[in-house]
Amino acid sequence: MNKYELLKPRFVGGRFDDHEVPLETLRDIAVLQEMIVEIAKWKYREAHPERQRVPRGFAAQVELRLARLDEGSAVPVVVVVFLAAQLAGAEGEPECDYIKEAPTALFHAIEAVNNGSNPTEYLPQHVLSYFDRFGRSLRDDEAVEFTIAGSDTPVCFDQRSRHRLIQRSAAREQSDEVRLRGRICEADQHKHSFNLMLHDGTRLPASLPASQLESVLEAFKGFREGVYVELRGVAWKDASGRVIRIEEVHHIDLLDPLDVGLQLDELRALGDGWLDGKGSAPTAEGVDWLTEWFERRVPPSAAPPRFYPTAEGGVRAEWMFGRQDVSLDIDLAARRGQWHRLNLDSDDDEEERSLNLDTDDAIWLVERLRQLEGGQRA
Amino acid sequence: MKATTKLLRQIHPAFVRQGTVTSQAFRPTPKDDHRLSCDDGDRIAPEAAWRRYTGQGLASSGVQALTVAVCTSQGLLVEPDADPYPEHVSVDFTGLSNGQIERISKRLRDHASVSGWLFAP
Repeated sequence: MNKYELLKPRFVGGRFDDHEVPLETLRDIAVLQEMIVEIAKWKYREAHPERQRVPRGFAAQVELRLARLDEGSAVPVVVVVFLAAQLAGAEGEPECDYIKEAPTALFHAIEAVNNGSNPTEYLPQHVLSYFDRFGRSLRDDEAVEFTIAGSDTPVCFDQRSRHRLIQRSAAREQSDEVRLRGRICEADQHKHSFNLMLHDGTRLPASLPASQLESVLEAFKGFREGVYVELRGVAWKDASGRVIRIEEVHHIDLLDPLDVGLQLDELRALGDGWLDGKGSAPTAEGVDWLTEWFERRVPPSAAPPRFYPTAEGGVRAEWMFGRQDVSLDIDLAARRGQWHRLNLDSDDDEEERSLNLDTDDAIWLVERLRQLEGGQRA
Repeated sequence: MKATTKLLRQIHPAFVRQGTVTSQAFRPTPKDDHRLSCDDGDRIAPEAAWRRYTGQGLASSGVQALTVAVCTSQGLLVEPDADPYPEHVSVDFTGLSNGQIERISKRLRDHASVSGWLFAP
């Protein structure tokens, strides 16, 4: 058995900063087996234009394995194992060379797309379509750095690179990990399927896994009462990024009516002029940022606010802790918030503060909310 | 108008969340030139006020109310200006700072929440 260290992709940012690899990332890494073999086959055909097919059994004796996890953020070491003692392709050319050269083509294709060049100079379109699955679990603050022999500078692969590579591939659609919020408007226990209806009325069919049956049926029963769920899974999107169908359902959770994401989703539906012809709508980017900000900064145990749009295109969060009326007017572009607390039973118990939500002011905010909530219970 | 006269206020649907109205509904928006539009509750019923309002193509989830006394206790001038229709009343926020408007609108919302919805379709 012949073993060779093939790839040491360095996963950086977000969840990888603790030198750990989320299990879901292993699905991405597993795609490398098919991708590397496909690159090797393509390279073989390029080198042998007179042959229509690769030799029978090409790559059947090749297996990619995760050998270990090196430190330095999180570095899974992928080795290729040539199961046969001596692999030989047509005309005696070792197949293993094509496998060993494959990461270089991968490297150059990513580098090209990052630089605005055409990645198909390094990889064919059908191979680029593997990026649909490779990197799918990466979050926006995460990336993979690839290095190759002879280059000191790693090439960075993130969701932007991935989407551009898919756009250059033969695929007309792409899949992504998604979190979708909506109502269950149809459920068919016989066919094991259901329909998720999004805020804008779009209905997305999905298969109903047995593990999620109970949640789906409960949400289905509560459809008229406005019971919403959050679906986590994988969905196909069209070229404009719109979800067109659900591929995999991983989890379905019933949502509290004051769920932050659910409330902010509703604000996305507003257009300019929402206030009887006046009123600016919050931007989609701003709402994305605020949703993520709340999820990261405000613990789920904290009392959820009620969110309202403001005429100026911002978002206002309001809490009531007993007789303490609390509000935070959020400027989405500036990422600032104007805090105001008023004791409704007092003439002089009032608090105002301007907060920069990208700084430790956020910690002050969360702590203040905890104090007010605690005061309400006391 | 008497001190107890109810000033009917139309509540925009975006200003209601799970039945709770934001205090923004009780302060003028930038389009209102510092004047909060209401209807004189002694001269028009909440449902009729709602029908006239929404009949003009404007959005309202229903009607809540303040009293004249509550507004004047906050230092606000209540003016029955009969413009653009006879029952129209303006509550004047002119000259107030943002902080004052914030404080007053929270107090107004608190009062309005006691009587709640006078009409909701």
